[in-house]
Amino acid sequence: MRLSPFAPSLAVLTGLAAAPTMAATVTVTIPRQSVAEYQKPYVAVYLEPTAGGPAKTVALWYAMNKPDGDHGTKWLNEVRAWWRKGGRSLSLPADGISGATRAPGTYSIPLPADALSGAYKLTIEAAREHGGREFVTIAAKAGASGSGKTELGAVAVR
Amino acid sequence: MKLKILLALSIATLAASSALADHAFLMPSFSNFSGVQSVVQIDAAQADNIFQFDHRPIQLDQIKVYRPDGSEAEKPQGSTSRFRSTFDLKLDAPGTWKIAALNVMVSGTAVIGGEERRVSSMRFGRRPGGPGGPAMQRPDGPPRAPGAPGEPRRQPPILLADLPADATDLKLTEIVGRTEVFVTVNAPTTQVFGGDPRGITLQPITHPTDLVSNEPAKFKFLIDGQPAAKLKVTLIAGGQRFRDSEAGIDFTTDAQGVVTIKWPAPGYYLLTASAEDNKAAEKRATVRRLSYGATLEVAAP
Repeated sequence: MRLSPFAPSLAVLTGLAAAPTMAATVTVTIPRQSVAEYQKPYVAVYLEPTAGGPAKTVALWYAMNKPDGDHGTKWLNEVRAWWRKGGRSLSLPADGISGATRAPGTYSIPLPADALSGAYKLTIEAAREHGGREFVTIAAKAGASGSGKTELGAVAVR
Repeated sequence: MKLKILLALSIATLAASSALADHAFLMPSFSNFSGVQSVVQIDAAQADNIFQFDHRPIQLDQIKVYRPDGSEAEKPQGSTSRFRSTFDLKLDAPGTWKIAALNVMVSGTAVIGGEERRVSSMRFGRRPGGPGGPAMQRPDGPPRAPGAPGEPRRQPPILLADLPADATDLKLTEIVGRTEVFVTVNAPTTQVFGGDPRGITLQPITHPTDLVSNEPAKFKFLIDGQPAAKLKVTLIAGGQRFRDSEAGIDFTTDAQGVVTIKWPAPGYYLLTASAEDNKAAEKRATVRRLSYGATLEVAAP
């Protein structure tokens, strides 16, 4: 089954996963940076089977509306672990995955229905122009949380 | 005598940018690209310190570019300066591209009419070789006398094609040197591996543009298209000038020609291999010397 934010309804219909009354989400905090030249980071959120296997991208924030011939894809490989684990095979923009970059703040991202089945780990990876790159990996289960040090703040699964 | 042969070889090497004395390399600005408008810039040089520019360029006409479908792209257009050649390559198709310099030549010595002459399959053209010749003259250096003081000027090598039938004491070596690098747009592909099987070639088990420092990589080496068992492979990290020696790490291929490489750290590496046999295509050459070098970019996890 292909994971997508639209999966919950399908999962309920097929009864493959425990029918969630409320979709699980991951909250991601983009910290404020005290730098002169700030560009909002590219962020990728992806699930990886703990047993190994290809990653499934849940969300991708990048300069998708950039008016160049590349549609903002030129720097996507700076989100390098995500790029290698599956980003480079995605056709972009991807419905329900691609989004514009976000300003500092805390955001909730819905997770696919079976994301919390225990079979996955969740990674949030951020890369910023003139800045750094960082990723945080946590278990994909309710209550799991973590925090970055530079490019990411607190992340938590609810 | 032996010294003379070595000297002749090294001069021929200089003229033909083989990788005998120094390391030839093709250095890309990046190894992985996203998007459809990427441009890679390639530096091509032969150097004592790998990835530095301290010796001589690889000439652009020796370099071929292969598109992800395996077809040959247009000749690279760029510039050649004192220490390196540089060119831009517009990566207008997704997949893995190959940039390669294959150098096949014969050089050595022969005795013609009682006189020992150097022999080369390469025409020396505007670069008449030999110590004291213009090729050895540094633009900013003092003028150098042709040959040693008091001795007659050494003759330029005779072309292999012009070697008379009555030449004796032939000591000819065939050199097959391959230098290459791979760059990938979006997901890696494998159609560029293969092609001309002469000498040493690399087949990916781990893709050479998909390397991460905490994951061991496996590569298969072939000689003339056949698995190269017990081939000596040496990995040299960039940044040699910041340590006391080249500090290459040696590996030997198994019976299938496979090496498994654990990366010491993220960074740029030159993966080299060399071998010697007697399977020269040129019948008069008794020895064939093979070399291989590929630039690899190993990412941090």
